[in-house]
Amino acid sequence: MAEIEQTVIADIVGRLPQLIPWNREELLGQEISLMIVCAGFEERAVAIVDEIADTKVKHLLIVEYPTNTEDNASAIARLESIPSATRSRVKYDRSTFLSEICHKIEAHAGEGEDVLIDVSAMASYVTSRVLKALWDKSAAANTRLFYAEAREYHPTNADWTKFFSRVTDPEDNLSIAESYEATYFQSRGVEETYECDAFPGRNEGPLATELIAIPSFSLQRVKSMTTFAEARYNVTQRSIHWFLGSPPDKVKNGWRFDAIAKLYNVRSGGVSVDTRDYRDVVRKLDEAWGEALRNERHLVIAGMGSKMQNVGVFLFLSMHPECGLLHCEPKEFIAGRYTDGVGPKWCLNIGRVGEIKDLLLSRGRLSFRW
Amino acid sequence: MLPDRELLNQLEASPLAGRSLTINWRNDRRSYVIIRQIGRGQTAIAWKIEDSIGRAYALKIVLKAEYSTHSLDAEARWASALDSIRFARIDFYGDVNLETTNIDLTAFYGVVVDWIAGPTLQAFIADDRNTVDGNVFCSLAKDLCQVLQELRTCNPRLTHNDLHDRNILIYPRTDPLAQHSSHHLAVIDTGQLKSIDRRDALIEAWHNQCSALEAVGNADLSENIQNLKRRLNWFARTDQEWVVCHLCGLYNKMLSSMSRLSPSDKRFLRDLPELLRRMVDPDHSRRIDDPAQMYREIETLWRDSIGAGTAQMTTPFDLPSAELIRSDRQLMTLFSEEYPRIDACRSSSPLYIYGPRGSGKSTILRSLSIKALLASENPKEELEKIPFLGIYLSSSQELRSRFWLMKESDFSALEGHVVRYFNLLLIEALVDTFDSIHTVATTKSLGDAAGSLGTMTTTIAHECARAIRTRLAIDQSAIHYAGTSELTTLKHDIQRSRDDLWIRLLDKSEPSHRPDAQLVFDVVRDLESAWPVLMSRRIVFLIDDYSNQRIPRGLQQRLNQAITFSKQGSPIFKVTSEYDGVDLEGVQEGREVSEVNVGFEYVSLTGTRRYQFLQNVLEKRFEYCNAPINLLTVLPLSRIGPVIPMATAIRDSHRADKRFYYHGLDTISDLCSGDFAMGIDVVRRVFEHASVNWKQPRVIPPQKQDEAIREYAKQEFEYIRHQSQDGRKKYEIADRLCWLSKECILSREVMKDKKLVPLVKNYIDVSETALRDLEHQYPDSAVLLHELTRTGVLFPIQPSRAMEARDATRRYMIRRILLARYTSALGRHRPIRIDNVQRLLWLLTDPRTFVLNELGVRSEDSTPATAVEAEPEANRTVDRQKRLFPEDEEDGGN
Repeated sequence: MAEIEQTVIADIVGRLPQLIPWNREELLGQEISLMIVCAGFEERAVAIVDEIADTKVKHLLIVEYPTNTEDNASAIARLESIPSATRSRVKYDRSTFLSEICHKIEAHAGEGEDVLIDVSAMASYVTSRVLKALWDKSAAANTRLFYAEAREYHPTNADWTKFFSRVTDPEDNLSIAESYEATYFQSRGVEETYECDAFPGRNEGPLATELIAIPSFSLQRVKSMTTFAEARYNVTQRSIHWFLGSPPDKVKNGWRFDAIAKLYNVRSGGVSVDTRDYRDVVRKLDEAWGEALRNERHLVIAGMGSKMQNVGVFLFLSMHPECGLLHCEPKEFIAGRYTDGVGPKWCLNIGRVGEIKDLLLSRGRLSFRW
Repeated sequence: MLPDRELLNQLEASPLAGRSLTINWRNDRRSYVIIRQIGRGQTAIAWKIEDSIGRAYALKIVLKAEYSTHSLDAEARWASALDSIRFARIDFYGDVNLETTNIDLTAFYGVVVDWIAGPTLQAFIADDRNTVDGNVFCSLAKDLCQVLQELRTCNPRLTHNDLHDRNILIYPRTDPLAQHSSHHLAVIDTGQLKSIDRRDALIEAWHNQCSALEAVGNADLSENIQNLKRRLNWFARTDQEWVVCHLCGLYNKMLSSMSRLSPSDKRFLRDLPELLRRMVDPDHSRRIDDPAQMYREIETLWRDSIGAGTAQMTTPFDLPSAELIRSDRQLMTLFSEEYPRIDACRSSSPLYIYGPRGSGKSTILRSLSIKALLASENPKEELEKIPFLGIYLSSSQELRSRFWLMKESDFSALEGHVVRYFNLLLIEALVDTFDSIHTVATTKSLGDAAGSLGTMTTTIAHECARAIRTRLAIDQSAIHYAGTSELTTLKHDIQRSRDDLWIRLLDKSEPSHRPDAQLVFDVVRDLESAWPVLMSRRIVFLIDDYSNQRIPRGLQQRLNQAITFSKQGSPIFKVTSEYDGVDLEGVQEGREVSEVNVGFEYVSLTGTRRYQFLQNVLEKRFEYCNAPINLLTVLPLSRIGPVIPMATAIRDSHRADKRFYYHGLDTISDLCSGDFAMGIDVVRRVFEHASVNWKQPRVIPPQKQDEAIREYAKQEFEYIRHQSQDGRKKYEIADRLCWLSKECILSREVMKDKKLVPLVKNYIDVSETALRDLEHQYPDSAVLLHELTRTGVLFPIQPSRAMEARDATRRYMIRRILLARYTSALGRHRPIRIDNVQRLLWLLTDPRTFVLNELGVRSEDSTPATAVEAEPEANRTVDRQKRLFPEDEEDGGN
């Protein structure tokens, strides 16, 4: 009896690799052809150094940020201490970064070679481009992601409670913004908000646009992206879908979900998305995509979520490149009010990039079976 | 037992190219020359051969032992019954003799079949260069269903029984008259062709054999059992199942380029799987397996996919801006003839149209396009209004997202690529428009209404396509699929070429050639030769959103090379931008262009019936949603003049400790500052806030209107605050200017017609000298001022750019909706004069002290109002203001 099966998102998500605890033993004696790290000011930015002490690295690529130069200096020095045959540094510049990283990856990550990427201190606008370059230029490489959580994230519960108790009109966005911006949690100012060159999207039709906002506590940057979407694509307030981060450790960080909802005045319709299990954001974005397909809408994502959510957003966009991605770069990160310490360390063994690519592209494909 | 196929391997290993062979059958004998091997299957090898006069054929050499279940004669007889171009015809068959060789071919038959040049369906799907859209899918689905139908209608009913994707070839066919080619599909290899009855009997026999062998339970027989099962598994597949399988393959092919597909294609893709499933439904009563019905369902789905989306307005307030309106028909139905300066826009002259965001520039430009005219309800009448052939292109679609990250130096280094990219976009839009005209002309869907456009025959379309291919150096040999247009194929080829170019741009691979800005001009000249109608109905490119607000300034300067504003030019260009959006530097004849400031009439607030455009726009929308309305019965006019009468009403309300209500369609229209998309949105909010169902409208009280308007104003402020570039600074400037405006009304008066009236200060006169000095001495602040106008916080209120230059003063007004936050009048009265750079800098860097100073300035005949003295009063009535700026209360007292 003949039958037709369609690959649905559950088939894909079920085959995506799980995030597993980092085990340094696994890399013992192995050779990493290319290791990409990001020199941020957070303590977790250098957590990888000890973890690969017994692993050979052929080429080390350090990505430097143009902001917080002094704050980042110690991380650069520490990362430079990783023994490697050759090394290079790329200073992040949004107009050249994608092509630079493409050339580096092409040069150092050949067929069957191992690539290790530390996303612990990678901003969303770096992650999307690094992974895009890897996808396009090195489909035959074997890839692992290293991810160190922070021990504490800012704002702390106490910071937040103190701030929110002073807001006189919690339902008024301007009132919240006025009070919140003065606190300078996480970052200060907006350098630029823009459509990502790796995922500019393609609105054939054109169709009316809806925005999926994955917010963080950087209110000014998130608001800048929603404003940008309004100006560029006529996205109304009603057309913004809020994907609110749901931390896995509910007891310690569960309050952050409610806090983000309050910060952005999301009173109904917010979607809870796991901050650690990147597959959750893939699944939920895909659901939104299906809904947009039914309602004939174009989707743009304003991604400011967690590191692993950024990975999930990238995978989703690889599956549906017609959707666009927005980035917002701050003028400055507030090093003292970002994160503290190093928490659990994780590994995402992506394996051969080409295989994951094929898996993602199988979304919706029909299989005819006899 | 299976035949010994090792013989096939030996034959395949023999070098046969160039050798002569003969085929003998009874008394007939034919000679051929072997050209090359073209394929190898499980049961046969195929070669390309030629007869003595050079005609090509395919020769299939197959083991005689394969004919255990049927005879070669029977195969030929069945095949000849299929009198269709969908099957490769058997020309001859028989025993094979190879000349001048000792290779023994007595174990083989040779079957000579029509030569079909083209890839197999398998290769076609695997080739990344091929794309499948809805049209191609339907075309190939039709051919596949025809194949099924042919087999079914034979007597007796036949089955091909081996309809896999390597037995289907895609081949081109050229129309001898029109000289254009199209793709078709043909089935080859009739080796397993048989009657359905025969097939069923064989299947049953193999089943029985298999059961018998399994019953013996001898391990030595296991290989035979497996072979039988394999054979059963393969030949039990029906032709209909094979066709559905191929439809799934074509679906997957289409899916692989989903991100590039049109909304119609996406709709089709979305709904197709369910239909395909029904074609193999296990419940035979539900299964769609009749070939005619299969195709009919597919075609209906495609037609519905194309037709859907033309009436997707669920309320009159949907799709407030033209770029959201997909359907040209819908756009034309909603288009208001009350549009300002419509005649100037419809002339054949080059034009630069500018105005505030949402003023309808895109709507008017799209309404001039041929595609929109053809889609309108009365195309003949609409076509008579427009003397040219308009081709619409939105810059925001393909230029905005891609180029903004490039550096100025990249634009110089990659200028050749950039200019070509733009040319390709223009030509792609041109081809798309020609394709629409061709469809209308060949289907005669408009009858005589198409007028001269009806002369776009398939031959002319072919000539046009050929001319464009030549100019763009795009492969001339490209062919398209039956049922699709050659121009569609060309459009896809141009898209592909553009995508390739984009990769080179991303890689920053510098062009080896200089920019050819004349490419589009050359193409248009060639097209005029191919289609003389273009001599009288000239091609006009309608470039929408050509604003440096949307595309980088450096890019615009490069692209200007490809544009001309010459009245005698061909093509002619009409462009739109927001205020100050086009740097005409580099545009050929740039100084000669006529300018239309579309927003001016509505921004100046001088016409007495200026609300009528918004009224007409909205009423058309209600009518479109089958709810005709007289909007004035819901939002009756306030009849409060926007300047002194409104200021007086505000002041009087304040003194009486009452609230002033913004209300009435006239006030809403004035609040929009020419942004009619905003007007639609404000009216929507008013309806929603008052809980008035638009299908059963009733009058909305002024208080409800006012509340919705003020909430809108607050959101606008939030929007400004969070704009990425200096949002906070812009917010503070706007906020303070609005505060000043209100404060002047409450605390200052001037003499007018021998009466004391409130002073209204909500616009700025800035001298050109101050602006120039700001540019030179304080470039950062100049950027901020530019940003304020670019984002519409301040908008210019001179009737044209020429006037701006002559007046030696630039006049900017605060966006009117913002004034509602503090309650101020909307029209112009007395300016805030800024004659030198230091004052301008003061406003931009410290707006708080600037406005306090301005409030204290005794301008001309103004005087503190007797009742309120000079104390800033806005804080008394705007609670929000008190909370946000508590320090103002102290400052205000000074």
